[in-house]
Amino acid sequence: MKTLIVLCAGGTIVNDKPIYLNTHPDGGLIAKKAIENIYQETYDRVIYTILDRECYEYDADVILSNELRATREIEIVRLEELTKGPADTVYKTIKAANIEGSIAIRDSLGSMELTERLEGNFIVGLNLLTYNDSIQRIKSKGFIVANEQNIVLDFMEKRFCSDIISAGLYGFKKGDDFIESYLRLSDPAYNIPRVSVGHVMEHLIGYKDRKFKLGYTQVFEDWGDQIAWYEMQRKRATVFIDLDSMLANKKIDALSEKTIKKMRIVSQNGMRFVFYYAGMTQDSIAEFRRFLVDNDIEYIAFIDRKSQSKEKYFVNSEEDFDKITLGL
Amino acid sequence: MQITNMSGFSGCKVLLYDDENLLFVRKISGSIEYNNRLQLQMEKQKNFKSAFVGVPAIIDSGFDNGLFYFDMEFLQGITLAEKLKTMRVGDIHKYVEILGEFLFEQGGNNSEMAVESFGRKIDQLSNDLKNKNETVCEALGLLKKHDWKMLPCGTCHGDLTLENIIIHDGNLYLIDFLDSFFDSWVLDVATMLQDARCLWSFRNNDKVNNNTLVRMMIFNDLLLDFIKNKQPDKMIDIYFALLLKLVRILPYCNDDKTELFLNEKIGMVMKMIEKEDQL
Ligand SMILES: Nc1ncnc2c1ncn2[C@@H]1O[C@H](COP(=O)(O)OP(=O)(O)OP(=O)(O)O)[C@@H](O)[C@H]1O
Ligand SMILES: [Mg+2]
Repeated sequence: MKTLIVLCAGGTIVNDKPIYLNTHPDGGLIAKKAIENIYQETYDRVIYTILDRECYEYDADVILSNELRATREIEIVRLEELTKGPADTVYKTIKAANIEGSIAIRDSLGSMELTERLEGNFIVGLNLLTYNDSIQRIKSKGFIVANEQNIVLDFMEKRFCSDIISAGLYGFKKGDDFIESYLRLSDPAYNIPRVSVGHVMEHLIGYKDRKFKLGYTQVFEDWGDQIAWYEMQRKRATVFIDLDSMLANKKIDALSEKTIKKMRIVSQNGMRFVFYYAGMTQDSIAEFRRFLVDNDIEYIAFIDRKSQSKEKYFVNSEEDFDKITLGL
Repeated sequence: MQITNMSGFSGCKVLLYDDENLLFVRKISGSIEYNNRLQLQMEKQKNFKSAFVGVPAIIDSGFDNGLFYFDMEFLQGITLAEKLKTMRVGDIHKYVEILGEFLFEQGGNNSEMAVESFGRKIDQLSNDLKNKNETVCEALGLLKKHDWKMLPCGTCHGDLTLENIIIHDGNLYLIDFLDSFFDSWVLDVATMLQDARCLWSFRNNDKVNNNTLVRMMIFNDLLLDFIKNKQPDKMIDIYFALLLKLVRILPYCNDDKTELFLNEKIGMVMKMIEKEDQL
């Protein structure tokens, strides 16, 4: 029996709801994206752990069931109150849902793409040496040390001991192993304030000599908190670029190398460019399009706005529209 | 040429010297009264033999301005206390096994002497700590009642804190020996538990790194498992020795925070004893 547990309970609130109930810029529910590309179909059970309160306030249970119906059957564990930490949430989920056999835990909300199917004791890491994008709050990550056979030798939370960070998916061959270590780590004599899933793995390696396999993801997005969330929004923002103003004298070679390079990187990372113009000829526009293609800069549209007015407005609501048309 | 000062807390000076490319450590008594104990320390270090752990070789000794000193080999390394914080979690068991073997190597036989030595020590403590508080009285009562005669009397380090173990070239070395009122490896285990189980060295840290706590716990549990596997009957003596260690600090304790800390740990160890008793 294999169970995947997705920890959602008590997440940060953005847009007036928990992050996991938000929609990703590319369309899917965050809670749904969290189980994509991790071989969710190989699990017998997939369980989302949420808070009771989130059901009353946000209809979390209804939304999850509806949104995931087309993907797969899921179960929902509703916890009455916030737990002492991620490992505690897992423990309570195991108890509440009578989970037996092996478990995998998705402990942070984000996206990843496993390069291979993982089973038993494992952890998924992201190699910072080969990953090119930026990472938020690197200090808060867990760091993994592994040998050349990808056996985990060490794991430390918030300590720079390697180039590989935990991407937020862990496997435990035996759920009972997890429980035993978690209960030991809860000993008040040691007063570990928030036992994490990583601590449990650390304990199993050190005390029980369990072997964990390190698997990799090349893709990594973290939406675990407000900063990370807004960073993701910013990364995938739609950017309207006024070509007449940006290209001084309407010459393409007026753009600096630095800007060109940056445009290439951010467009490939999800930023959407919309170019608009008024005073440029069709020939210059064609030339500029070729220039974008040559430089691997992606865009979604060119708009001839057919007005040389310097005023441009963004309208997000009727109120906005009222404001800009006041007195006209 | 003196390079650096490495002194600990005992009042002795520990200095690192570089004498024509020979690095050595000089440990100098803090007072004339302490001369004798430092001399005993040196003797203990000199006579030390083990197949599992080493000691820095003694190079020289003498007196300077009436203060005894001895010179020993400098072992460039890191103390086990420090190493544990960042050690690969999978390596902890290797060090535990070496220490475990070393402890058993100290051997010793049961002797009536233990009953007498501990009896005297505990009586004296009861006197010093009269009417301290309920927990302490209860602890003293337990200590008095305990039968110490199964305690092996052999050799021991005397102050086997994690700070007094140096890892050098992957091997363990012991420094800072201390004469003890009774020589038993069980007391050495208790000293290690003072940190590994009671977190004594961390008492003044507001926030101890979680990784460090996890490692301390693993070290503690592996060490106790190792002993339990080979000599299960010694567990109760180890806990009693730990209780005694904690109570013995109380008379020297002059601030509320430390006293509170000790009280809490004494309570905890009594619970451990109760649990062990039930087995
Ligand atoms: N031979 C040595 N080689 C390398 N380092 C040494 C050596 N002797 C001592 N040290 C370093 O100096 C520190 C203090 O030494 P030692 O423990 O002997 O002194 P102490 O003042 O008695 O300490 P404490 O008060 O903690 O007992 C040690 O923790 C160790 O880091
Ligand atoms: Mg010392």
